Amino acid sequence: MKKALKKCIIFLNICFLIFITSGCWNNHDITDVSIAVAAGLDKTEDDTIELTLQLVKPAVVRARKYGGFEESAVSVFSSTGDMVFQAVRNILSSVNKKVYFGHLQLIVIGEELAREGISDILDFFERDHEINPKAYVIIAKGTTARKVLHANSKLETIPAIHITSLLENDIALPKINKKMLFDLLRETSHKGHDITIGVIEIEEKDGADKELLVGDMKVTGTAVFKKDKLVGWLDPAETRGYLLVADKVKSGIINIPDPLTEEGRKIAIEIIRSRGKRDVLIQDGHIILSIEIEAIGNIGEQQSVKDIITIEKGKMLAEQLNDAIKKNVKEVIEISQKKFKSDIYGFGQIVHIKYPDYWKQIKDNWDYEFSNATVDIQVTSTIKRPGLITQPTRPQ
Amino acid sequence: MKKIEMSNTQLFFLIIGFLLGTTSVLNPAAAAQQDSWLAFILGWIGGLLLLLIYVSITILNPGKTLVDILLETFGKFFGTVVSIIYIWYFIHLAAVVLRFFGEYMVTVLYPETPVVFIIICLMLGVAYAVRSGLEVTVRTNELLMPILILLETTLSLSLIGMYNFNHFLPFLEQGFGPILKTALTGVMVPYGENIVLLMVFPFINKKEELRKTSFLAFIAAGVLFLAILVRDLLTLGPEMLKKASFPSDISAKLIPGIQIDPIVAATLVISGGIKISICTYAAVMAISQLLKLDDYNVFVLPVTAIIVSISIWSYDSYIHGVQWIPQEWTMYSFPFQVIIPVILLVISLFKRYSKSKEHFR
Repeated sequence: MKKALKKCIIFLNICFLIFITSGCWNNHDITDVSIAVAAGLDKTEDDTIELTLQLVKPAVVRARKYGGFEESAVSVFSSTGDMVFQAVRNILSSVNKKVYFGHLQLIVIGEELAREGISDILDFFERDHEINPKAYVIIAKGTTARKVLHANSKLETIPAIHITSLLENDIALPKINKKMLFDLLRETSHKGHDITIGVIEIEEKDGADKELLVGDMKVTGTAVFKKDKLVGWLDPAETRGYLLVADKVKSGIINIPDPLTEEGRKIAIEIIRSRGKRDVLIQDGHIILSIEIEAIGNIGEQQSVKDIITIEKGKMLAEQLNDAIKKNVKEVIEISQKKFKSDIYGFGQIVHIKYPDYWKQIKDNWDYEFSNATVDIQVTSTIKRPGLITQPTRPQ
Repeated sequence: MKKIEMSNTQLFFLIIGFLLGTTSVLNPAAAAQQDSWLAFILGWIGGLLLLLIYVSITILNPGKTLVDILLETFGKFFGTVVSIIYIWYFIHLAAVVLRFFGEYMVTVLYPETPVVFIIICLMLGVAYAVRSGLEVTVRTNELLMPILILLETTLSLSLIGMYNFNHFLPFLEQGFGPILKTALTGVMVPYGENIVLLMVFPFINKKEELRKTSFLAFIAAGVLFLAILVRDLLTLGPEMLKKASFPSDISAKLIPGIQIDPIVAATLVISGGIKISICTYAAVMAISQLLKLDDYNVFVLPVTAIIVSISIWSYDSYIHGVQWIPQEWTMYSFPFQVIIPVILLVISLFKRYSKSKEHFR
């Protein structure tokens, strides 16, 4: 009898465990949620926020993997609301299943909204527990996030993944400013650090009625912010100068004029390693922003006919590379100092760390101090290898 | 009462699990921002002094639990009163820890689940563990704690690429004030909570190694804590560290290339579960000793039910909770953690002294 009772209790326990361990309270099957991969934010004309979501259709993704399926793997929906979260809920008036944000890869912010400030709208993405802080943030230059997210892709099943993988090309193309949501939030909260975000813009299309593709857009360039408001842009070449100082260049090409032959001939140097160091010195009450850049490169391509592989000529090349980098960097720092008055390099943060007492005195007019500071740029570059050949092939 | 056997290794892991508790995800020193590591170390030294007091009390009164010692030192009436207050403290402590466990789960993983449900689920496991006896709890802990240490180490190591050592700077920006304040909170939560272990210490096998084992465990737990704290500070930075509800969760989400943040919740179930089990065990054990009963099993379910209700009632919201812990809870714990133990130590020392004097005559 007792044995039977014990068995009964164990059986009941097992039944109980089935219920409490098989899922959480608000359990949703994967077929009952719409998975958002990208979110776009715009400002509408009547001052509300327009949210655009790119939602994945898992069945189509699977079918397209095996070919011959033409339907788009994503569908794009928009909704408006006074704040972001309201728009997220309002979207349920057109989307049938609850939106799941756990796989959000990309947040696109429209230019107009970025000019009015981004910290208000990013609060939702920081606070909500589903959002992955590793998602990328990008600004839609001259267009709306809605339009960017409506673009289709010929290379990837999901257009948002196409854009994020373009951003990840920054390891080879130092004109792309890749920014993770978390890094953006952290930089925003740092004292004496203005933020920059990467840019996506639509290039000129051939036919006006042609469907917009991700391939028609480019992700090079940088949006410059002051506090949390967009103030201007850096073009792709300037972006490289910025990234060199910010120590974010992994590899890239810099063309330098050939020092030996006639005008117009160039040599392409492939930067294989680069290190940017920022420092602030204070001498007799003057702030000196010191930038040190170390670049190591290989010869990647040569237009001229002359043999350049001698020690002296190698040094000349390195000089040329120094000048090219220095010019690039100087141009950008002047723009940030004079045009935008925005400390995108975080020099203020260095002052805060290095001279905490001094920082307390000047933090309220750091913008002024920064834009009038002297800049000292040091570049040391080395050219290591010529590649497989030491001389170019030319008709004799 | 049946004989309980506990090896030194088991006590070692028990102390580590008990100290980690829910504090591992809360980051006790976060308020001191970039100097939180310093505040933590100061708090840790304070905790070491408290541990010294607790261990000395046990050594001066060999084989006796806190209730026995209280009854012996304060006499039958006052001893009973103080013991009852301590029982209340154990129950309250278990409830507070339990509530924080629930708050973490609801905030981070199960936003739509009622917190009561999560709390009851954990508490059922705890009740089962306590009913099975201290030995079973301690043995389970011995199995689980290495896993926890491994998980925490993995988390800290996989974030190394994100570390930014500038987050330690500027050193002492706000001066010593906030650091000392945070350090004082750190002494009370979690180190002072070691007072609960006075109900467990007498059951160790090799009593002569109690001091060594507990200090080693204390150091190990401190190192583990420091690894967690420094990881959060270096990945999140001082500003984010201060404003995050649960810093460990955010830093775990940042591990590149892989999504393993639920590991933090797993570590919390292990260490939080152990801490609540020990508190519950201490409470029921104390009750049965006061009533001179051999078996404490009858009390387990009522006490767990009380703990669940108190954990729901103790505060309304997370925000209330985070403000209440450093302000009122530390003040409230002070007599339990410092004043009464110091009185006990002094009286025990005095007794020992007079006894040895008699002996000497």
